[in-house]
Amino acid sequence: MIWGQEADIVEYCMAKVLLLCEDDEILRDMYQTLFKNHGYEVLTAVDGEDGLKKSLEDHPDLILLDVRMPKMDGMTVLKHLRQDKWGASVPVIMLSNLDANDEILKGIAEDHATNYLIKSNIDREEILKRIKVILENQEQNIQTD
Amino acid sequence: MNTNLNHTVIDVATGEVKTAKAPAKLQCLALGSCVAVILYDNASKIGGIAHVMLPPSAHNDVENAGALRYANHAIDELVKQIRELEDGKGELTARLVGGALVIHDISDVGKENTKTIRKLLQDLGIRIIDEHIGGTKGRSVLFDVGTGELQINGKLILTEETTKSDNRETIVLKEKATEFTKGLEEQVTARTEELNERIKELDNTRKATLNLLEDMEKERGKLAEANARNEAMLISIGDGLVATDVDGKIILVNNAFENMLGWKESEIKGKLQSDVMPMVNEKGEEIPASERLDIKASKKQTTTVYYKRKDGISFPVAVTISPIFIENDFIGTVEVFRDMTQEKKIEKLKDEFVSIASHELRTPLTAINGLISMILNGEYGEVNNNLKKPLKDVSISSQRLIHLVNDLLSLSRIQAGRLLYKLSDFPITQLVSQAAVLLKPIAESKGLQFETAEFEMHDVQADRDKVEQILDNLIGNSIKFTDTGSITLAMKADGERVNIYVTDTGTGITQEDQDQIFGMFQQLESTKGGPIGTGLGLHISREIARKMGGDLWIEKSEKGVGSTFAFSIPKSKSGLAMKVKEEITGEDNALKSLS
Repeated sequence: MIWGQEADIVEYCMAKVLLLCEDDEILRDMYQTLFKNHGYEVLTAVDGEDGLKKSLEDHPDLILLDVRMPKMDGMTVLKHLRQDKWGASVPVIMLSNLDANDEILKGIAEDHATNYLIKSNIDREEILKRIKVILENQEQNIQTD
Repeated sequence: MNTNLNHTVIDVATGEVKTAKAPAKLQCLALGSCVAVILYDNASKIGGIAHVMLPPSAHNDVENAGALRYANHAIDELVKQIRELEDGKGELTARLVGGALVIHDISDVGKENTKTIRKLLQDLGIRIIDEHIGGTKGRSVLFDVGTGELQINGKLILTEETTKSDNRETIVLKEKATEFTKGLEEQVTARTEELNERIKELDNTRKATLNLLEDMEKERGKLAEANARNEAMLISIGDGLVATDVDGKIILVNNAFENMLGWKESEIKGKLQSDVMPMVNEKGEEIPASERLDIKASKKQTTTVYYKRKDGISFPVAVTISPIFIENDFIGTVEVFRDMTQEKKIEKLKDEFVSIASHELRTPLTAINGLISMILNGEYGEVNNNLKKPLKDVSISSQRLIHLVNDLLSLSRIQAGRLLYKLSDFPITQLVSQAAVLLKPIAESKGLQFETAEFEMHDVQADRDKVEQILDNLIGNSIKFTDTGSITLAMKADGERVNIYVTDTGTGITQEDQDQIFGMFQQLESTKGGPIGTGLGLHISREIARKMGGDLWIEKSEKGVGSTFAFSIPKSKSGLAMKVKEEITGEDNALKSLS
């Protein structure tokens, strides 16, 4: 990893707000540290209900949503989000420890049009790049709209 | 010797010689092939009969009590007796009666006897004045010693004088008549033999028919036994069984059917199967008859659905329907179904286990991997140089563990045939471009050029996610094994398929290694010391590509120059695509209904 590249990302993403919905404390802290270090503002939610509530209240730029969470699973959160006027277009990255071939994940991808699905084994560089690409695209879409 | 019995009728039995003086009558009853030799002295009215049975022969045992049965002895005795009774020595005349052909087997006896008797009488100088010899009928003879009159079968025979003059002619005529009769008799015999043959044949036929009937009876018994056995088997078979006629009406069900569905055979016989046992999907929605298996299809079909019991509760079944044809005429079906409730439970448990295991294993691994990666990258502050090497090793090991877990889970699903394929038609160009967009930054961060060649526009039929997975695997490998140069994506139509090529300028693979690279856990000799993988990725990708009707192969590879990996997928709407769709849809339906 070249430090210069990271600096660019930090600079670019300065203003972006991410909502991280993750019930595992260790992972939540880890991602939070990572995203914060790279210039994002990070909101966190500890379960699905919390995540949905914060999404609709705070309107983050991007939501990272764990699939398996207590109280409300990620799929249900996504479903609710997509029914919301604002939530219908917000980029959502599903975080999953489940196998990508699971029927659950297929359901998410097909029925609820998740923007991007990322397996939890994607490394830090890749997850940062994906967030960057999605936000850039979003920016472009907004500009062209 | 019964000589003085007035008008007495003296019986002369077989083998006897009797003589009488007038007034008396001598008789032989039922002369068959025996010959009655009647000697008569007209002057002294003395007569006698020898009832001769057999002609003389070298084998005759004359010492036997029955010596008189033989012509020579009998005639000698007769002459002797008459001479003893006679005063003078009057002239003796002879009459011969009998010698009929009454017993087929000894037809010659009468004839031979007659010949011998004639010869003996000639030698004795006794003239034969009358003969009633031959024929097929027996005769009874009554000779009146007083008058010299002869009665045969109650009929008076011509006088001595008449017979005397006609004697020779009569004899010749009689012989001719005898021969004629004999000819007739032979014909009759032949015909009789023929008839006997026919009778024998008929008898044989009758016997054969009886045997046949007996065999048939036995076979029928066996059949009945086999039927009973089959029926017992059908009834006691553990799987549900229902036979329907050409209209789909129930003919027969077994015990397992009754137990599983709660219907008694008597309640449903003759009713439409689709009415009695509605087929429903996992949500309990009835599957219309049109979507049920085509029962008239020529081959047996298998599906997994739910059947509704009499009480309305549905349960999962694996159904096999076989059409029954007799000489190409469809006459009905036999359906066997197994209760899959237990299997479904086990499948569910297994799925849950796999799901939980994957989640529980991966969560801590993700944390370890992510945290080490962050530590190494200074996210938590400067790292002591002494710690960098061991932390890197921990990172590599944890990544390896994550990949291994992922690949093993994928593999277990592929091997269990439990990977679901959601086929759709989409432009492959779009998918490849998307993969390029996502992976380009990663390649570029490694200092590699990432190029996409001109693409032809093609729609393909595949599972989008799985094509993505294959692309990720191939591009990921290329990035992993290439330190300098470029990675290029290209695409080309090839018959019913579209080929996608991933070319790199990486380490390349020796010919030797190319042969085993698709095996499981193949960490190639040539890549040792290089990037680490599980050795399952290519194997899994190829399995998936093949399942979707394509393939995955090494297009070319040279050590130190680079490699081109390629995979193919069917063009949408192609014959191949249709075939794959049919196969996968069938399997998926079976899987879905189980989950």
